[in-house]
Amino acid sequence: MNRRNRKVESERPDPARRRLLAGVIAASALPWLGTYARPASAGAAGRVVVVGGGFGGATAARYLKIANPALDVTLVEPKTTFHTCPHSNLYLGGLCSLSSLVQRYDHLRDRYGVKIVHAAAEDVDATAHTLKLVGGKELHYDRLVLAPGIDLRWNAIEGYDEAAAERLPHAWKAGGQVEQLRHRLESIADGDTFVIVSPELPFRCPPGPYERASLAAHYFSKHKPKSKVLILDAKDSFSKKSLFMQGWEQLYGDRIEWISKSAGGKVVRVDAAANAVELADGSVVKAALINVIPPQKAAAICDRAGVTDASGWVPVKPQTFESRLVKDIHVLGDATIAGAMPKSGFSANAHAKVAAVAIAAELSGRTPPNAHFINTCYSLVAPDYAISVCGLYRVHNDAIVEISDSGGFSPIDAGPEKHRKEAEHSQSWYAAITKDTWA
Amino acid sequence: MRHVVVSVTLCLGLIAPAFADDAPSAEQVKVMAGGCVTCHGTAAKTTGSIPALAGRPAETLSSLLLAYKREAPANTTIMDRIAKGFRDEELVRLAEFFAGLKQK
Repeated sequence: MNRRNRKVESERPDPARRRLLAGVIAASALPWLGTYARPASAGAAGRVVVVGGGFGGATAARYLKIANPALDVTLVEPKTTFHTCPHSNLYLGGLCSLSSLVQRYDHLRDRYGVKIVHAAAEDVDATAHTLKLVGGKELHYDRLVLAPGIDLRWNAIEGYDEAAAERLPHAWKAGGQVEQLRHRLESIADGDTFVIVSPELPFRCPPGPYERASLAAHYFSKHKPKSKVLILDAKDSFSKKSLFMQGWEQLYGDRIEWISKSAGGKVVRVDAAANAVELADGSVVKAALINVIPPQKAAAICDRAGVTDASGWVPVKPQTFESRLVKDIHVLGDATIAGAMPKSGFSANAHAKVAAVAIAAELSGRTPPNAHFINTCYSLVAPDYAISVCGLYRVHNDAIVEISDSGGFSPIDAGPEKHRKEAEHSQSWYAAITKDTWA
Repeated sequence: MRHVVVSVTLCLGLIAPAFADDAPSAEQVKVMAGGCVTCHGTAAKTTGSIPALAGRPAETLSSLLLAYKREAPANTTIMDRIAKGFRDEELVRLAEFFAGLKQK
């Protein structure tokens, strides 16, 4: 692949921007930020409304104000605090508290001048350029950024609906469902089996179900030595499979069992009242605790905005993340079809930085720079044993493609010392990305 | 207090076919640096195992990055895989960019 086919050829900075750029290099960052945080003329440069306060939306709001503090940026998010999906599996395994996963919006408001509106988005009028909130209030936008994450496809697996999720938690949106799953893991008896039902691609956090299995097995090894983890999979492979399997064999022996689709692992029906799932061959698996991670789609507000295609996901232009279907609406994160990039918090943060630069440029009548993305994902196999995958991406022929001969997995012969270092890096990464997104 | 960051302020030119030897523009370097700061931050100190980059000498950073790209030093976990995704000139410019971020 030729990644050198497009380059920015010339620069046309205006004097004010030249001073700003110089400021980044030469001046202390704090005064530089200080002048930015409360611009007197906010709004003159354009109004951007961002829906969703997760990795995509919060990063977009922050980087829009960094790109151009004169932008009027409003972040719409119903919850006053946000629980991250990343590291939720650590909480499930007893390695951290739920409160350690909480992020807040104060810094976006106080340091960057982002207006925070705690309300749910209900509808989009793309012609009038308005976002309607639950309760009736309308926000006008020049550009709308949707970073709403996923919705679960209820009944895509027969019998798995919202009521069933109360008995068989999905825990694939962070917060309450994850807390419920932790309590249930704690309450099952030693010797009980924990079943994880894993979906086909694409879905949020492709290695997540297998990290979850790992850290549940770790918890069992400490507290319920006779309990096991059974993964029922709709796929024949999964992210970092060789590395996970190597770690499982070394650390957990037969405590984790994975049944592939070919081996009959695909779940076709759920009987929540019986704590049971039915496999493709008609056999029934009953267990004390079943975690069903169902198929997913872009969140419903994307349907309302008209940006979702027949796949249930949102096609976007890769240089700007503007919808391919509706003008002036940009979509980020898990909701999108982002070429080779997986659905992850890191990806959403990367989309957001590229989109923020592009929106700020376009609202000033300039052409955005070429996009460039990195995604790195650490998975814990045990508290001191992590594995990683990373990818670097550019735009080629109007698609996000992986840069050849780069990225990839932890080496299969990495050895315990490197797995320990990657576990440390996982913690360090979490601290850094949450600051980059919310602080 | 968190330091800022990669300014994503831009001055932009035309996107056009270019020669492979073209230096990346300042804006392009900032876009690429956006991927670095997700793990490394923009402050001169980090609280974790991933080292900070801001304010370190450009020569130190660029020689490290080029070594990661070419030799996969024994102590690396992931940077060899990441450095291979950049042209040499891009790594040198990224090193200069982080060297220029003010140390606290």
